[in-house]
Amino acid sequence: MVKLGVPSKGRLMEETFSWFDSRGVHLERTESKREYAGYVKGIQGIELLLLSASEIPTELNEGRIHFGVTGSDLVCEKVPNWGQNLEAIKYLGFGFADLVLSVPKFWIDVDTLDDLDSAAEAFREKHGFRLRIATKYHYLAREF
Amino acid sequence: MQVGYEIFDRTDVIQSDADAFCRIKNALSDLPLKVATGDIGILMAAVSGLKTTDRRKKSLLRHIWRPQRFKTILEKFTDEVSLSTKRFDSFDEEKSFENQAKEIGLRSKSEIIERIESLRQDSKASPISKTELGLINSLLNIGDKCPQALIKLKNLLPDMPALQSAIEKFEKRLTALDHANVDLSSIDFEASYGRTSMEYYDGFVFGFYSDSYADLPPIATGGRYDALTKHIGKGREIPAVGGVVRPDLIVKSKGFETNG
Repeated sequence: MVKLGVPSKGRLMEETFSWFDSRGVHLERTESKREYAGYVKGIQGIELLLLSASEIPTELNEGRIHFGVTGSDLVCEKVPNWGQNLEAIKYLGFGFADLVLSVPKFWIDVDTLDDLDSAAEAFREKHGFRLRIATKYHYLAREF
Repeated sequence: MQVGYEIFDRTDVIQSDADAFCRIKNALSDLPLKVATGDIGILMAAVSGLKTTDRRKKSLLRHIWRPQRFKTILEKFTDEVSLSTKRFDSFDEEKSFENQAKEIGLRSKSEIIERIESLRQDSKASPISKTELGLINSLLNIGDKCPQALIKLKNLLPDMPALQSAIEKFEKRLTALDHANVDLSSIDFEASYGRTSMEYYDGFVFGFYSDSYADLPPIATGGRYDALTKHIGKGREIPAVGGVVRPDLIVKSKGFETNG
């Protein structure tokens, strides 16, 4: 049994379902409020798992599912060096997410990344600790 | 898992460099290895020797371990236009803040004004010359067996006199390694070695790589980290050099599978 993991809710789920639909594979979520389960019409031998998009990269990496639909940002974030174990087979062309770096508006001296860098340097010198950046995306932020 | 070996000693740091290197090299003597070395001290000396402002040198020194960033700011410092503070021409301590959102966070208005002032000051100094940029790039591109690398480094000396003492140290280290029966002609020196993923090393750096499994991460890495002990010691310091060996990679490089 091949296991396919897809996002379990929202726009990502809808777009995933219609992407498969337009290729003759019909995904269906079973009518149960608690259980994230579903089934696939059109191909034999596939088990459908509805998961949170952020769990899918880890599930793939651990080998608990064989195919997954999720954001490439999440793959980079959840699985360091993901290319060692995982392979991107198709970019689906939806669900784009922008990561934005923002600073207080009144930092009128900071327009570019260079500015932020040098402001951070001055900040550290003055306050004795590093400027803090808040993010959910530790790996992506660090790589950036 | 990793096994570490460290030497804390201020009597003869060059000898300590060689000792730490040999100890690890000998521990791996039964493996087919490629050895790469570098010397962050030479890069730091090169930056310190640039004919430019301290502010710019400090930024460059801070980014030695981020090659891409280093390159970007070095190029910026050679370019009159990007050093210009034209965008602050109409800056006014009172008016410029008037329509901006309120002050939030620890970074205060006075810090912003201070930075703008210091940028303005700095922009008055002339850009780093293309000649110096070229020299830095030739230095960064040096990659050869140790004896040839030494010659190439010495060739740069007339144009980069600031490298004098760093190159002397490098040469003494080669002598110490030679005395310890290390075959220098088998060891690579790459001027840029250790600039990624080896932050906190600030002198001699080295890495041992499997010759039979090229895609394995380094089996052992190490280097000198005097600045780190200075930082942790808050005023006290002890020169330090050492490295780590990764036993799981030894096993893998011998062709055995491991479970994780």
